[in-house]
Amino acid sequence: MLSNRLTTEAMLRMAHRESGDSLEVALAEAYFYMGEHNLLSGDSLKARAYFQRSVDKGALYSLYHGAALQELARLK
Amino acid sequence: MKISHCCVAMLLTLLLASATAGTKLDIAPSHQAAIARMLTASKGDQQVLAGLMNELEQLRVSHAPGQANLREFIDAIQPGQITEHIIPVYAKYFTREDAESLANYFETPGGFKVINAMYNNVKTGSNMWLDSVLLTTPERSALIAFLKTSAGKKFFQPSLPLQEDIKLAFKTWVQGWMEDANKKKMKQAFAPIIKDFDRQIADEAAGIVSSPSTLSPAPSAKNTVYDQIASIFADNTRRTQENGQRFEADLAQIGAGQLMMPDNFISQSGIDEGKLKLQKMADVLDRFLKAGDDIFQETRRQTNEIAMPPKDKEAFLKGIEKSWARIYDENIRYGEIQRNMLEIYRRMYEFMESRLGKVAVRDHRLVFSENADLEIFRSLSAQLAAESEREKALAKENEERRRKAMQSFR
Repeated sequence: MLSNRLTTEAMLRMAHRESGDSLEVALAEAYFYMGEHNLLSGDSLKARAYFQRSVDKGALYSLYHGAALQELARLK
Repeated sequence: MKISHCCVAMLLTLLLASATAGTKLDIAPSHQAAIARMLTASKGDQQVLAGLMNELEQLRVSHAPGQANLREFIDAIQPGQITEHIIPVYAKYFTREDAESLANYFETPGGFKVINAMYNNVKTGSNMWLDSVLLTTPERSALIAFLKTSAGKKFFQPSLPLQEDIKLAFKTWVQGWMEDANKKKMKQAFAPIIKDFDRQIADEAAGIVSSPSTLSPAPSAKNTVYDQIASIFADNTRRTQENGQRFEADLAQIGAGQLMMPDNFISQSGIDEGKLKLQKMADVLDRFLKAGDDIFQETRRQTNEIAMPPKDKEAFLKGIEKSWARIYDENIRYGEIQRNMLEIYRRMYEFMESRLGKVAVRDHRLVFSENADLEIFRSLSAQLAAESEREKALAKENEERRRKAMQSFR
């Protein structure tokens, strides 16, 4: 997605193919990348909303959970 | 479900300067009356007004919006109001006896000349006022004698705290006045929006489909910052509603309401049709979310362009960001719920396709030949119901946020 080879919509649709805990993990990852995408576009407010949502998924064992937390701390 | 981006409504009150409460003193009526008499004799209110006019002139060069506000304030001052606001300050520094002594002096011909010169000095900004007073010899002697009295010393050599207190009293008064005036302007600008919002809420409560909003960015002769914000808000509300109505219409055209009809699940053609509908619904959802996002981005852009003093704007945008973040969060969650639902429907269709021939329809209900299949179907239906509950909870949260935001405009 960050290299524009995948639209945000397509990425989210892919993530939603998962179910249960896997869905939460997939969404944590998708929202993290949505956050990065918005950050690169210069919209830190929207980026923060996505990073926060990534964290809210509660996928504590996912790398993206920690990464989103780091980004949120950086954006404060 | 409709997510209305009630984005501009939030922390508008940040624009309203908060008034600092002035010091309240218990002043005896006789003391008050003496101070009032002293202020009348010494042209206290006129001097203060002259001082304000001087400040107005200075602001003309340094701070045009501030000048406009001060002008509005000065124009609204009613006779007697200045005296009313400075009595408590003078009462803090001048006893009843002081005030009476000062009034007695200023009511003499010589005192009248002195106070006139003092008033002209304030008006012109000259420092040589006492030298310019043409006093007779007895008047001069009376002045010299008066300057030696305790009241004379206090009046002609005002202490710094007295001057600071007068400034504070005025600051408090002006800020309070501005706050009231701005609230009035804001309420006026937002009145049509509130009316439209109440109509929507009443319609939703009655379970009827709201007619389209007739809100339009109304041109305003004054075009205050509130008019600008209200105009952006009205535009946002109208476009958001249109987007929501388009979404509902697209879903109706696809036939989203028939997705769970039992007959769709027992034939290959019904299942193929259902899957196609789901694909179309996913496209329509993406379009709806994208359009909603674009509307919101445009609102943010317009809000950023509102002309207001940089300091106010910084505070305003900082305050409003919190609400914008909430709207983004609601939108993300709304998209998530909708996509989850579509995925559950898709799984339902996949499952029913794998069970073709093992499921029938009797009395408009699905009849499974195997209990395990029934359980799987029930589990998927329960997941749908759970998402539907999440959707309702989000809608309620959204409505609460809008209601709360609107409260400040009533």
